[in-house]
Amino acid sequence: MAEILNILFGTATLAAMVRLSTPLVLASMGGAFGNKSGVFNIALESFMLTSAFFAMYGSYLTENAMVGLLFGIATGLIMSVIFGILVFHFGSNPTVVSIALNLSAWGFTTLLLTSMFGTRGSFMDPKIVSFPSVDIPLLNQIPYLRDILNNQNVLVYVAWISVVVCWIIMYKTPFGLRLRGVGINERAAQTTGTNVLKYRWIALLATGGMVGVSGAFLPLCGISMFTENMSAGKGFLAVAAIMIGKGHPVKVFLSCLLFAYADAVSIGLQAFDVPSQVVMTLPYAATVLVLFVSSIKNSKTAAMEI
Amino acid sequence: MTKLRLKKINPDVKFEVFKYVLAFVMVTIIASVLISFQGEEPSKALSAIVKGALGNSYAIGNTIRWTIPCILSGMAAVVAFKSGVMNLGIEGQLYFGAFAAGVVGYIIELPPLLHIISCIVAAGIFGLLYSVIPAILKLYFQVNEMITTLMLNYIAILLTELFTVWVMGATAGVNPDLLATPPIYASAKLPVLIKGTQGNAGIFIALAVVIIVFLIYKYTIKGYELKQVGENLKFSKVGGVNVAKTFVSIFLISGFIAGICGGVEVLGTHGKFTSRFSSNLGWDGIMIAMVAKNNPFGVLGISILWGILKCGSMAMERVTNTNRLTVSLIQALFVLFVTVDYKKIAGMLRDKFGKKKLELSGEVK
Repeated sequence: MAEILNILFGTATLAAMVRLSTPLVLASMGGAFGNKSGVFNIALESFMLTSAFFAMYGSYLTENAMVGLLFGIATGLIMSVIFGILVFHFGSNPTVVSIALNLSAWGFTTLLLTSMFGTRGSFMDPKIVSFPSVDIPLLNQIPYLRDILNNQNVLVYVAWISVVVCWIIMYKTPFGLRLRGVGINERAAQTTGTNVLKYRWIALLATGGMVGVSGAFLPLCGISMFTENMSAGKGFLAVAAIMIGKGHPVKVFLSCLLFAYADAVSIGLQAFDVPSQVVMTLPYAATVLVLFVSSIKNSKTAAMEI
Repeated sequence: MTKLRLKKINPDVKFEVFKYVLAFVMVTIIASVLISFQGEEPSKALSAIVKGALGNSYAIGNTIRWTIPCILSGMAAVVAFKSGVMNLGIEGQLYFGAFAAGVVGYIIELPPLLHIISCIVAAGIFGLLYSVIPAILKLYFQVNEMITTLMLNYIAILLTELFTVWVMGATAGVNPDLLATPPIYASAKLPVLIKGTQGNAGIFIALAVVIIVFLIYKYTIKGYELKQVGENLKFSKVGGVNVAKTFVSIFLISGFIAGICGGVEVLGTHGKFTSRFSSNLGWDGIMIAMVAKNNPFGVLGISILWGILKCGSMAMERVTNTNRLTVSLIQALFVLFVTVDYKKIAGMLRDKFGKKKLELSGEVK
């Protein structure tokens, strides 16, 4: 019993939750802008995977995690520009573009991995430098919290700060107001003189940049390696979190924490006699379940309307 | 009258053809760049693909082997997309179908044809059952089916692996890459068409599915309703179509076909269910449906192309220094190029050009 409690509420699990939530939070904070501006984008997975690869590459080239991060952000921006040109200017269907990008990202990164480093599967090198973990002066005094929140990777704190920043931008600035206006009613926003396309582009680039950071976190969070298909559905989880939170940064953040918690618990459960396959389904099953629960209130009004 | 109509239709057809040719040319150029980037001559690699896929009867047999799952998963996607159901869970439904076929294949021995049929039906039903969850969530709770089906894909891969471990019993846990059900009985195996290859009679099942789907859409009221729901939801509602029922049936049919796809893979090629066997076959189907613009016969054509590329890329990897992932990347790019709205681009360019002309004429005046 104590062991189960330890898995559910122990500091190890909660610290893992904080760590695992980071890529989701970073990606979904960016994606929230896209969502609020009315751009349907499930290509986050591909943004994340390509950024992860190039972040690893940047860090490998210069032995500097910061350069890796910049590479990641640049890659995310390039991917979002490709998406934007195709969807906004070339009239492609965003879903189709997303699916094609997701599939090509997997082929692309693996191809680069084999042709540049000559390995298949994973690549590890001492030259890949990760971001350091931080010891926060006051936090390391508080007993329970310090085990969870202290000594995490720098980007973990960046992610938490980004939630606040996103919320302020979205709900406390004229820019955020216009952005949300564009998403709610394109025509109405247009009549007030808002350049819809411009706002969508800004939102999309914000998505790309933030997902770039999130992609950079994957190889540079301390493990200093890149593995094939490293994002493993995290981009999709981020999209799910955005949907559940309807683009509101705080709600999105909470859904990310929930998914990450399921993931963290599943890591703890692996020590028990539970089959690993069951354990590994937890984060995905949790996503479906949360989507279901969060939409129950819609069911009365929305049933049959499809 | 006929003349008028011809004039109206012709440019569209021409334009469609032009679009595919343009996409193909662009993709070939990019492929050449990617291949030379890997230090290989593009012409050599491309000819290796063609030779490896169509060069002799052995090659053709293996091309057929890869065409079969492409057609079936492509049809699963077409049925869904035609009616506006974004079923991205073909991969997961395919896994459940494959597992069911594998189990029915090894657990009982039946007369040959009957055994194959029962395996395929079991596969279809399992695929269908796995699509019930997202269908209900979408219908009654408005949960976006794209996200649920994506998540269910991951769950399906893990669950079928778990079931395989149960089936294997004590021998399990050796190596996660070697998890598989016991081999199926010979009576459940689909006959091989060309000896020494993996090209099997599954191609007839695939063709049958294409024809049945085509006929349903073309000649039955049900098919008309299914299509209407996708094209104009309000119209079909006003017209008295039971939208909810239709929606669910679309999802189930799509899942059923996806399950068959998995079943045929097991009966025709692998001879047993292996965990994580599918190399994105479900996603291939989704891409094919998109390239083929949801046309059943288009799916057939694109699937053959996909089969050639798949089989040829493996030969290319053996003969040259080129990685076969180059080809999967190219396939995804092909999807991107085909789905671009070239008319819009042309319009944009014309607008720019036209404006300049106007300005110029203004100056002259």
